[in-house]
Amino acid sequence: MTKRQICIQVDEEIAREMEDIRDKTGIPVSRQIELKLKGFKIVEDEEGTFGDLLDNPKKLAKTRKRWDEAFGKKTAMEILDSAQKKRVKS
Amino acid sequence: MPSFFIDTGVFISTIKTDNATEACERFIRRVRNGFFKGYISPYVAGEMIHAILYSEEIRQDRKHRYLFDILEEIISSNAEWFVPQNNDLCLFFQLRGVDNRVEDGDILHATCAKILNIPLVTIDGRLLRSQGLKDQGVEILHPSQVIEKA
Repeated sequence: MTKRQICIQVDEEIAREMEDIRDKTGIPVSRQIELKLKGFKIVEDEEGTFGDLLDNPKKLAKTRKRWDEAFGKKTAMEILDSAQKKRVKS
Repeated sequence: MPSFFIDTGVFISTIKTDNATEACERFIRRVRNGFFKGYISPYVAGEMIHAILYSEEIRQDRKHRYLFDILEEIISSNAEWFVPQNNDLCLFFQLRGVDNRVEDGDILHATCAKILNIPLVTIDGRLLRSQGLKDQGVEILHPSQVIEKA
């Protein structure tokens, strides 16, 4: 298939994620965009296991980091309460 | 083996750091490693999923990642599923009347614990302080109390 070069702008966050995948896998950003447009997704198989969260300190730390970044200083109970309040409102 | 019914907040606090995380992790690890038997109900899992689906902090296209974390934590904990059957939930209406400050979802967890005749482990202050539920024979403990007792 003939390839054509085009220039697009993407969110900084998406670009950073794609660069991270490029650094880890070697797949160029342009190829990742092409794959995404075709409906494919690159997903990291974290050591090929599911359900080992409590036995895998690296995975647990990564999960906590993701949750801390999303919810900031909110406690577990505050997360549950705010979802509950939102449901009651709706 | 000591058995406990586990409330939603204990699971969430294990992966979202707060002041209860250390105790929750220690408790959940003991369930994971077979020192304790832990039970959850579909309602506990549902509350966790609900918290993500209705979260304003997480973008819609990222929610699947957090839902995956929840499922992974449930699987990883080795907790048993308890599904109330037959007329088990008649007890819910009895417990509902004893403390109006406690929400329906939490009364449902207390009901499951009472049906199984095991303590309810929670970090929810309202549940921990509920004298009404305790008077009905529901033992309610913080994860740190369980660790101390063991």
